Amino acid sequence: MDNLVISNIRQRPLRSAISVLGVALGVTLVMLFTGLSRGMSDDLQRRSSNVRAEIIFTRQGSFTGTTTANLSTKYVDLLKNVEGVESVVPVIRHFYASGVWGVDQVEGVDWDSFAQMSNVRLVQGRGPKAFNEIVIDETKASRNHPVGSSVKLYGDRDFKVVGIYAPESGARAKLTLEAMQTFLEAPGKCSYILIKCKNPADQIAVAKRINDQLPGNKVQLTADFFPSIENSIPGLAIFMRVLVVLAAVVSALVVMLAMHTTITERTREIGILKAMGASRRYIISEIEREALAISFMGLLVGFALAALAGFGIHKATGLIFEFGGWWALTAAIIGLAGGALGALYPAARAANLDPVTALAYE
Amino acid sequence: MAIILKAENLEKTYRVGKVDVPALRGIDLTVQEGEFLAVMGPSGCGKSTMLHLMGGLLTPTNGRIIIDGEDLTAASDSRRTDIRRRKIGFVFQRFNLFPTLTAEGNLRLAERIHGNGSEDPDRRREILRMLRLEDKMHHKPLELSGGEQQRVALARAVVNRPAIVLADEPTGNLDTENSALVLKMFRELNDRFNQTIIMITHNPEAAAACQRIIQMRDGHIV
Repeated sequence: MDNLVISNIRQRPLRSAISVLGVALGVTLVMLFTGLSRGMSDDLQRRSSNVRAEIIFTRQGSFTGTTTANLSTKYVDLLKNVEGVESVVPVIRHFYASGVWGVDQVEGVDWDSFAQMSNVRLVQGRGPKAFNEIVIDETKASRNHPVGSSVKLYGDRDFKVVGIYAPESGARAKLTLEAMQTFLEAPGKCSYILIKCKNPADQIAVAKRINDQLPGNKVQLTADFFPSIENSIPGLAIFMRVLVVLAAVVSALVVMLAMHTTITERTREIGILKAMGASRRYIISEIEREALAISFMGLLVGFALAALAGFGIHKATGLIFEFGGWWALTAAIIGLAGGALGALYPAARAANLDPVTALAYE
Repeated sequence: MAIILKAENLEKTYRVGKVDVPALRGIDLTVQEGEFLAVMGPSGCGKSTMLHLMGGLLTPTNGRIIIDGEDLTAASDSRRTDIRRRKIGFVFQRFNLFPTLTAEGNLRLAERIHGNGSEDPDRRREILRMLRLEDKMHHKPLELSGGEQQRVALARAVVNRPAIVLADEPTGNLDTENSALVLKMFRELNDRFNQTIIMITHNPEAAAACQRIIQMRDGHIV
């Protein structure tokens, strides 16, 4: 063994391991939070992008983040008569308390119309007909919900899975519009109406016509209606940045503490280095190299822990975890930079030690 | 022979609290190239302080030290470090090897510090052969006897061809047999490589191995 950095790391395996875990903790936090946020956002985007309608028609002031069935289905026929409209599908989106994360959603639709408009197909079974029948997408089905099984919605109410569809589009479970209207005691109502244009390139002109002919409602383009979670939740981007800074601080503090202890323990060795003619720059670079080696190991462990935790969370809750290249790079930079910065003060302190005092250190 | 070290009116006073404690009170010393010099004297007489001044680990309160033509006392801290790296090799009573490195690792570290990565394996092998350490290269210090550790420390001190080796009681922690062996190595280095050595010792037998002995008392050479 002739490498001081590696031999020093190996000399104190427990302390090195704790330092590595400290850096890994910061990296894991960044990767996990951003991975889950990105996974959920991309999942929502993916499902939303599979809604092929170009326009969404709602009541003015309605909020789609909660169950709202305040739009009359009488607009369905009126919308069909607007020039440029090919088809319309009324939808009730219902949010209900469920699962580990507290909220889930289900949609009430006329299955055949919805399937035709959104280009989804049944891969097993058939569409819902009775009030207690639902179809689910393949992701939900993969969580032990085959055709014929029952799924609880609205608390304890059992629904029978009669079909599995693909690709995923909107909420993962769908029942008939009539069933949903009945359960919500909202006959003749829906949350919004999906509108498919004859020519998608004319969607802005069609939207304007709808707005002119049916004033007092809200006409939105689908592209604007389903923004990414990161853009739609106020402060999420700031939260992520705060998280990154905190992770960097955690990494830096752990490495600083570890290196500070190391320097104190190795005071005499630093004195020897000085007696051998090692410059301040050499001593700082040796300590920085050790910190960077620890940080690099922390990075690898952090990525592995994040991947494991993401997999575990997905298995336990169904939430999707995605490794983002940009965030991985960010985590790598903060892990390494945090370690390097954390070691800077102990390194400078070591470089400035008086050699005679250091050599006499017991 | 050329003068390799010259100390003129060397003074060193330590400040302990509010009290000035003089350690060296005006030392004049000239050492020729290839000389093997012993410094003797009672504890607290200033031997180690003088050695640390000559090695650039301390700065004098007054006076001048010139090593191999370079004025150590006029140099900045980084310049002194540079002179130390190029011209001085230290051997300590407590060996001061890096415990996590093998014997070879300790030597290679010295080479790296000295030469920005350039190493001289021939020189290393020659030194190791002379100090009879060839079969100990892959041992860590704790796996070596005291005598072997001190020989590794000696090898580390001379591997980069320093102008002067400064040894602070190198046999102080060794038994009689190992002391004799280490002293023999010092003599061989001096004979074969014309290595200049200044050695502090309390041991008259060790001093007897040297070409010249100076005695110190109360911060003076007597």
